Amino acid sequence: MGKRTTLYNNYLHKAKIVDFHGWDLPIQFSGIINEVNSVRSNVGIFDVSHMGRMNCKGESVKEFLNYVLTGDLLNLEINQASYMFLSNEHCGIIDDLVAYKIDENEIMIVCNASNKEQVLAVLKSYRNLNSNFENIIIDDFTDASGMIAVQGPMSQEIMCKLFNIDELNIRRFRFILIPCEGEDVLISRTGYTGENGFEIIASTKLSSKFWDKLIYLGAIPCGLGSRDVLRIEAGLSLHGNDISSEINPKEAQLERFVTNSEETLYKQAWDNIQNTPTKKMLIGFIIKGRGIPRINNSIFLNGESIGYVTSGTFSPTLNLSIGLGYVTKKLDPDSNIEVEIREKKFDATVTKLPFLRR
Amino acid sequence: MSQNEIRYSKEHEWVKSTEQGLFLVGVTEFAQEQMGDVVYVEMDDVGTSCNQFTKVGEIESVKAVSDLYTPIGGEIVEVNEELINNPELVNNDPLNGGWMLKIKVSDIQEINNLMTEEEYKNYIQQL
Repeated sequence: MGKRTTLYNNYLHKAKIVDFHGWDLPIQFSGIINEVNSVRSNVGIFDVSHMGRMNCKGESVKEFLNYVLTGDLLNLEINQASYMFLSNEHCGIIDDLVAYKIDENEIMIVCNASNKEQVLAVLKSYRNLNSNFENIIIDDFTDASGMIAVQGPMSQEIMCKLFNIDELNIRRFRFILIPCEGEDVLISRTGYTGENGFEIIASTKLSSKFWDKLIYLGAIPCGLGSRDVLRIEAGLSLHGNDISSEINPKEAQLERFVTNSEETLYKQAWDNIQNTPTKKMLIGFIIKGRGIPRINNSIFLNGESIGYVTSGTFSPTLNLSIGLGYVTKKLDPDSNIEVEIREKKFDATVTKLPFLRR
Repeated sequence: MSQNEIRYSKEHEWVKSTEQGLFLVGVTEFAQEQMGDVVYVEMDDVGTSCNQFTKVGEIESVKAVSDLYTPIGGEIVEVNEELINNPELVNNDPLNGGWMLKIKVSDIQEINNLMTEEEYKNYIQQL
């Protein structure tokens, strides 16, 4: 038996449950394609309570986090969130995460479930290295809370009904705290689907209530399977597949999320990376024909092996197969490549990301 | 084996007799549920000869690829072309509209290597 989120009992008999990095989580409810279509045309909800949530508090918390994160926390506004990386000294991506500025002395971090222990360990080790930061508190409150992603064109409407409010005006990557049953519920306009959407962070008790009420209001419960399809359609990287501590943000085509120009752990490595051509780079591609690219399939250019697939799926929204991968050659959009799927080469076209623009 | 009687393999394929010597092959409800949404079905060509329990095609769902093993040997005389444009038939109607192959059976005795409906029900309960 794996770890279970606070919502496990809400959906236990309604979903197919699988192990995901030690968590028992729903892979699907009604079916991956139906769930993807629901998020693209209506509204779907995801239990993302397994994701790591931690509060970092202290007078110099921004300076502390700036040392290891690639986003600039000094320029983040209160009630603003930002996607960025926890970097090692070589600019490898230890994890990709979202930092939320709660107030001047408090930053909340939401990271991948699979990397939470490492994120905590890295942050704590840097805190202990520098006496200026010894008073910083790092509080992992993952197990004391729940997190639900509400995604899709009807997400705004259902959120208003859930909280019994007339309107919910939150700009992209901003968040608010709404008082509800004696606690502050955090609502951010964020997500991992490429659709308009929100994420709710609340106590375990309220999260469970919200899940049931969202379904009552018409939201379609969605699992990890559709979440993966949706994020690939949106061209979003998954840590462990498309990015890792062996990959730097330039290779991943995510340079725009390195905005911190302060003195950092990775500054020297980043300066070097920026001044030299990368050995490999992430591309998106569309398969011509009836094959789905899978992890580690080889990518060919004019018969020569030039890379490998890191994510792939059938896209129900586009009705064709799409993938992400790394290649050692610079390829322009519309370049023709081949992807070898089960010993058969399929023609493919390099495609600008995201595959699906909303 | 009488017409429309159905037999099952351990790999979750079914076979049932139609006309004289011709049998339909497909996957079971259990198999479609395990695979999830099917998006591509690719079968060997008409005219191909196959032995019992050998691979005759691939079924690709959003999640993964599964091989199709024929529960009975013979010659493929027809493939269900409908599945090219409507692969979801495998999920929605695996025992009828989602049939995959029509096979001209070479040795009818091979049926005895398969499970009856009741045996198959017991088999999947133990999985």
